[in-house]
Amino acid sequence: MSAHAAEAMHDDDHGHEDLVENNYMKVPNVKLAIWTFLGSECMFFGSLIATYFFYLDKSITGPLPGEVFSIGITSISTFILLMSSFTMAMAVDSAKSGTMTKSRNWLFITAFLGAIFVGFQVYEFWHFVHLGLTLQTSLFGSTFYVMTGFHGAHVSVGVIWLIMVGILAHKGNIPAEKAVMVESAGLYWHFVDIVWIIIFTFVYLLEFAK
Amino acid sequence: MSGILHDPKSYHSHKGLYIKTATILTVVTAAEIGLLFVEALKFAFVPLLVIMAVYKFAVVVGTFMHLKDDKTVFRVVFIAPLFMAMAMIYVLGLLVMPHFAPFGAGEVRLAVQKSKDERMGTGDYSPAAIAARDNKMPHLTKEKYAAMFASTKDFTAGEKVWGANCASCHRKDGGGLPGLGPNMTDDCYLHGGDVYSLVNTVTNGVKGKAMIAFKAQLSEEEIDQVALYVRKMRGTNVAKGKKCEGDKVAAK
Ligand code: HEC
Repeated sequence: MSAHAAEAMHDDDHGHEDLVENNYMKVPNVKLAIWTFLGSECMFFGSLIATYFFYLDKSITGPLPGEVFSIGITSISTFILLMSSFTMAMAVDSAKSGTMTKSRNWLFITAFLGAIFVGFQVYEFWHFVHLGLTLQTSLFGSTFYVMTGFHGAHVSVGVIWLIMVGILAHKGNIPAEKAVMVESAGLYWHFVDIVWIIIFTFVYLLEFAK
Repeated sequence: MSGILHDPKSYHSHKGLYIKTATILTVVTAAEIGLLFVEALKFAFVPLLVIMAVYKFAVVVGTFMHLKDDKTVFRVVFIAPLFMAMAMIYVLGLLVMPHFAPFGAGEVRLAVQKSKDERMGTGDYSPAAIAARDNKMPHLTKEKYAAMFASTKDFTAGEKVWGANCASCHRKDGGGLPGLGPNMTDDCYLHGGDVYSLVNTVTNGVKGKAMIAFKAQLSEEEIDQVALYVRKMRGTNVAKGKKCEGDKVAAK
């Protein structure tokens, strides 16, 4: 093997280093890392949700959940986040099909929907504070804001991540064989959506079901 | 490196499946919200909502995240902690819902709770229980109460205690606040309007409600004084007070 060829091979290896399969498991390292991380996130959000329920109905001052929640607004933002999971799936599908331009468009649409969701949450928090519910008001206030706030922070991180992957795709820096870069951002995004599926039903809808 | 790098030519698009999935998710979400307006199904709200949420969760994870057809190792690293999280929520939940404990452990918890209630005040406001407490309030004899009723000193002291401890929930003038304390100036009481009931309510609080027990914050004397103050608010019917809650007692 000539020195040149060896160098070329080395270059090639280098470019895919982050995607190289795990020798033992035969899966891409990135994907394994993301799934493991999401597993730990289950524990994280599990604790926040458990804490919320543990302290529910134990606040000694209002406003109480039933007095501040608005089913209309939350339903709309929930629907938007749910649809962003669909556009994300389409982004991954386009990337895997080798149509990076389409994938880029879906990525930006997804980031946009995510940003709208965050906007709704900012409005919701602002509105609740005006109704007299702050982080310090009551057990409900602190557990609610910490739980949904951490979720909102996750969505915000996701939006930034999607925009970055979108820009890479736009610049042509994601070849089709590296679709896993889009896929891993997608896995994170879907996870954030399923956390909201749980919060929406257990925190909001069950409150109205009382 | 074959087998690891993705090959777009051998990939079949799942577009149709994703559109179908998104439609299903939309329909289920609409059903969740719509369900709340069907009063007739109120008894089944909780199980139905839980089933639909779990279904949506499974669909997103299974289809959008491909966990259904992906490598086993991904399922392991995700589902194992998911179950740990659920176990944690369940165990923490037992503290508030002992009825769900397995193997009769719930009964032990309930028994513990009951004996705690007995020590802390039972929250039992049946007429019999109130009568029993009347006799168990030796510090506030009928004669002593009559003397307090006549003096302005105890009344002003009670007013002070009221302003510092109670006005935040029952309003300064006793008219009550929405979602918080009831009106003290009408003739309606949830837990009895005689002074012994009032002393008991303030001392032991109302279990499960915002009305906390004040025995740790206030002295016996202060509680007697504030109860006297509350008793004297009866029937003053201040403007914009909350509407009647509980039973009407005979006016003054
Ligand atoms: C954190 C809010 C809060 C504070 C502070 C508070 N209360 Fe209450 N109080 C309530 C609520 C709520 C109820 C109604 C309980 C129920 O629904 O059974 C109540 C009920 C009562 C009752 C029974 C009324 C009835 O209809 O039988 C009395 C008496 C009472 N409070 C007196 C006081 C006094 C005296 C203080 C101050 C020492 C005080 N409360 C402070 C919230 C409060």
